[in-house]
Amino acid sequence: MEQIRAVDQLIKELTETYGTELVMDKEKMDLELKKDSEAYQGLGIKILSIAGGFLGSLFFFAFIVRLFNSASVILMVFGLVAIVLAILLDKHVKNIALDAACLGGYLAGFGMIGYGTSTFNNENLTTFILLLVALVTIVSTRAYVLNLFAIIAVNSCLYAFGNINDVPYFIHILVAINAVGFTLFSLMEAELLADGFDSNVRYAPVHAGFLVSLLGILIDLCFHISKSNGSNWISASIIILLILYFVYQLLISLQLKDKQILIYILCMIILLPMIYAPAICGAILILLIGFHTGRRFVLSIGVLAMLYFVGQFYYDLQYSLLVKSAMMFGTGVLFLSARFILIKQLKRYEQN
Amino acid sequence: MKETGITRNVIQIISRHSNWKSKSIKQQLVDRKIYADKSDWAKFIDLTLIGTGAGFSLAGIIFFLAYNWHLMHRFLKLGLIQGLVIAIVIVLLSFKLKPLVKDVLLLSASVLVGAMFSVFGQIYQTGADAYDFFLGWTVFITIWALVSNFPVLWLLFISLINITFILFVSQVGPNWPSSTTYMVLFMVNALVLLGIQWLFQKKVIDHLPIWFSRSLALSVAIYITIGLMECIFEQGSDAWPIFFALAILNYGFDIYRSFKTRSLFSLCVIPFSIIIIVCALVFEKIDIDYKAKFFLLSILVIVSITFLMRWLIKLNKTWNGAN
Repeated sequence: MEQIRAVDQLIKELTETYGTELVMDKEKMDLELKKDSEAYQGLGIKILSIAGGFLGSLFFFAFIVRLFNSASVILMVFGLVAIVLAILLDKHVKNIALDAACLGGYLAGFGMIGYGTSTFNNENLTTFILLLVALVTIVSTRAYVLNLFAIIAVNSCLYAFGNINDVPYFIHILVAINAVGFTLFSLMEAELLADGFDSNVRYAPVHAGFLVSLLGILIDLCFHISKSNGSNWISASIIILLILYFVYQLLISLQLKDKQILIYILCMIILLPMIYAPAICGAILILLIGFHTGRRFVLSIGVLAMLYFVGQFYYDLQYSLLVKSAMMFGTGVLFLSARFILIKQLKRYEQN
Repeated sequence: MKETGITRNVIQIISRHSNWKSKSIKQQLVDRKIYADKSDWAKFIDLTLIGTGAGFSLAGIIFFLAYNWHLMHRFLKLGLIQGLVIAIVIVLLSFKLKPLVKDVLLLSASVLVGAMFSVFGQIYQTGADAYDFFLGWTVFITIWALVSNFPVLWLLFISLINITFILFVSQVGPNWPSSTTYMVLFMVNALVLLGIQWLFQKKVIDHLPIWFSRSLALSVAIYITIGLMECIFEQGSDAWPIFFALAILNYGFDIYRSFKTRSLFSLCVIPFSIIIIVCALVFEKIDIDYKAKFFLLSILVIVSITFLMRWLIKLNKTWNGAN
């Protein structure tokens, strides 16, 4: 009830300010708002639908693979049919109860196409076809889960390309794509929401997709899975530049004009020691953006990632424990002294 | 998010069905305090600098100790940690602190007791995963866990009981079938959950966070699910009728409570657990070829989940009809 009153108040304010300039489809809006308030209470139901979808798709996938043992073309055709059916079902039947069936069908289809093409023994071809399917999914459906899955699938395919063909430095391109995507999507939220229906609907899943993919790649960098040891500074520099860009935007939105240079220098002093630890830089970026945009979930992911990556640093064999100890202690003292300087500054600021 | 009513979702939906301009959307996101403002940032920076500053300094000290570890005498190693534990307890008893600070300090003392045992194990070569190490840890924090009013510490304590039991059975315990181990684990956790809920009702405990009872209930459901699956796949397990009866009793009671308190959590978890168990039963006991089996299972899962969700959504609507 409280929400309905608040929404009515907001719409009234908006129409008063913008008059006839503001056009809205009240009927559809109310319907979706109602659905939103109901869905919010049923988080367990959502998780259940996803879990059920996974389990069902697993069995169906096993059935199809058994049925057409090595007939790759039939498998691919069935996979395609399953995906198309899932997308159509989602588009035309608006019922949360059918979510499990849609997701199950889609995942089973994706698996079938992957399995079917893998019999050609050409890893690049398999990856390319899956990439294509994921891209087509993003264009053709507005469903949250399918879009989220497709974004993650696109990134996984690109990652696979890099690994299959042993492309050096490719991981840094992926870092750049996802870190830039995540930052821009977070900072340009209002612009993207206002950009039209399609952009509005896809905003949330694409944003979440960038976040999940970025996190995955950071974990790779943290464990040196892609053997990027020597070139880690490339990813770290990209992320540090993004953090500086974020600070720039933040200073504009908080209308802080004086002492800008001091703030940038402080940021650089804090960030430069992490030039060989891109995972920690990435966690800081996620943490800062999560806090600024008021997304508690993103913020807590940032905090957890930070704790984990710093903890993982302990096992990094490139540096001796003494070096690590000095780096940690130095940073800690730096932060603490930064706080004391800041508190003094603030007190002087208040007195003036 | 601090102001009720208008959330990010609501703003997204309104802008989805209107030509609301981006500048005004941004203004709303700021005005409704969804985005952080100056005072939020000031607090955040203060807290982060203290938190990370203290954390990093502490990590630096620990890394430094680790660097010199092999040079230290064993008395110094143990003494260092024990000294820390004693120092924390003295601070706890002699200063007036906020309840949260007290809880966190007691939790860190409890974790340090574990660290102490692991150092002990390292010095005297007992191995890091010996069950007696965990048993010692559990025993020596029992009183703290009982007197504290801190669910995180309770969770640590209960996890330690679980780990100790699992390690005991695998290292020195009797040669039980694994389903029996799961049955004991399920019963221990279910009893703890029941006991804590009873104490809460009798007002012995003043707060019982929902995440705590839910994680316990979830662990019970997981033990039941895995245990019954073990009963199905394992040959020669005689205990299954008892396990089965106890599981039905537990699930029945949980479902009854869910209806009474109008909570959907167990009504999502229990049917899902039952679906998985039924799938295992179909897979193992029905004698048809694999193709038919997988087809049957996929249909079974999708249909049962879809019906279950329809029922849950309906129930949710009747319970929260006011919205």
